[in-house]
Amino acid sequence: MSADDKNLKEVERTYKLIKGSFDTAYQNCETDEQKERLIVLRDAARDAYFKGIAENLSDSHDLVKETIKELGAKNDEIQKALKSLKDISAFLNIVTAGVKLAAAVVTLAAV
Amino acid sequence: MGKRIQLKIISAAILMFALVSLAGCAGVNESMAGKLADKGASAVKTIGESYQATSDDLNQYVETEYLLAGLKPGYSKPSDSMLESIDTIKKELNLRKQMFTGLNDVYVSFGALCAYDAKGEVEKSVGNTVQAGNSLAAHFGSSISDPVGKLFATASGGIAGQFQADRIKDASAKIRSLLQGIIVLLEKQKEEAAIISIRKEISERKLEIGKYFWEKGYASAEGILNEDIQVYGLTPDTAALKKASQDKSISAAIGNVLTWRQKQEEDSQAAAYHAAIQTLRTLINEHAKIEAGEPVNLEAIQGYMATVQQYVDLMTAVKKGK
Repeated sequence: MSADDKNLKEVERTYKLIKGSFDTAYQNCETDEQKERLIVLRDAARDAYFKGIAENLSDSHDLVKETIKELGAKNDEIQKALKSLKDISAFLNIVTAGVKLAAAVVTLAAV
Repeated sequence: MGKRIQLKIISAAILMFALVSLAGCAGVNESMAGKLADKGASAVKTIGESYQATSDDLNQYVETEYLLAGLKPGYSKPSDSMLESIDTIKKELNLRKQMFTGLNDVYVSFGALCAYDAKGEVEKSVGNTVQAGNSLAAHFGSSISDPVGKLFATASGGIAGQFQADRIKDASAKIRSLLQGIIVLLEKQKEEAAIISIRKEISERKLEIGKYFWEKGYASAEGILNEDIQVYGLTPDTAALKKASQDKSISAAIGNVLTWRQKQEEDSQAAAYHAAIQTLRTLINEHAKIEAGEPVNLEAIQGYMATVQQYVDLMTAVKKGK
């Protein structure tokens, strides 16, 4: 798998992790604020995914490589956090960091 | 000059012409080249249709997003950013479709060259396809256009050769360059991951909306059950089937069938993409054989095309509500 393919794979993974767990996470939200935050994060991950597809992530410079490494690690954290959604605030914090990195990868790759 | 000498000169000239003609024809089997042209035409047409099918599906995807946003708590309408990206994806797919439509014209005119020496038609259609390919390359920036540009430059230009067989050989080499340029172009854009991913996303959404309507009792599973239980004279009870989604066992079972069908679709989408690229590679090999005077093998292309056609048929069937 090339560096460019890996960029897309990790951005896709962030989106699919959030999309796949959305209904359960939404039910676990205790406040409207948490629900709103989850929606915003899912939408941002969706936007990053479609932008990634559209741009085809044509670059693979060092900054992107570094960011993609961080995103991979963050995706692993999201995956672990999904096993127990008891602490929804902690979960939302991890997802926030993941979505920010996914958006950064797409933006950097498009430069 | 005596009549006998004149006759000898004319006979020698005819013999010389025949020998030169035979030398020109040596190695190129016009009939096999014609068959390769037919197969190539239908193959690239199907590949173009597979890109079109994905583009059409994106429209349905957006509608599904609007439907889910209105039905499920927390689901949002497509954002402006998402719609803009989808427009770009559709433009990309359309550029590919145009390129393959051009390539279809190339093969049709290559067939005409093999049948009745239509040199001008090949030159024109190759020129059009190169133009479509260059538009696609330009769309993705200058970094990828150099190697592609060289291959397209080789493909462009007049068809050379004194005899029809020479011209077939030259046209075949030009088409081979064109195909190589197209493969480099598609690979440089890393489109494999993007195309397979978007096709998967579309089918996952179809499953989600399907399951939602089924579980809520707004959809009938009659089509599925008719297919699966109309065996050995058994007739489904239409009235009873209307309540099928209320039966927990049947509801779960139908859900499993939907998931299975989506997985089948997903597998066929990835297989179709790989088969399309493999078709182009095989066509390149078969053109090289034509030019070397070796027999061609069109069975492999037939196999790959069946896989791509399966995807196109599946998408068409889904649109017709099957």
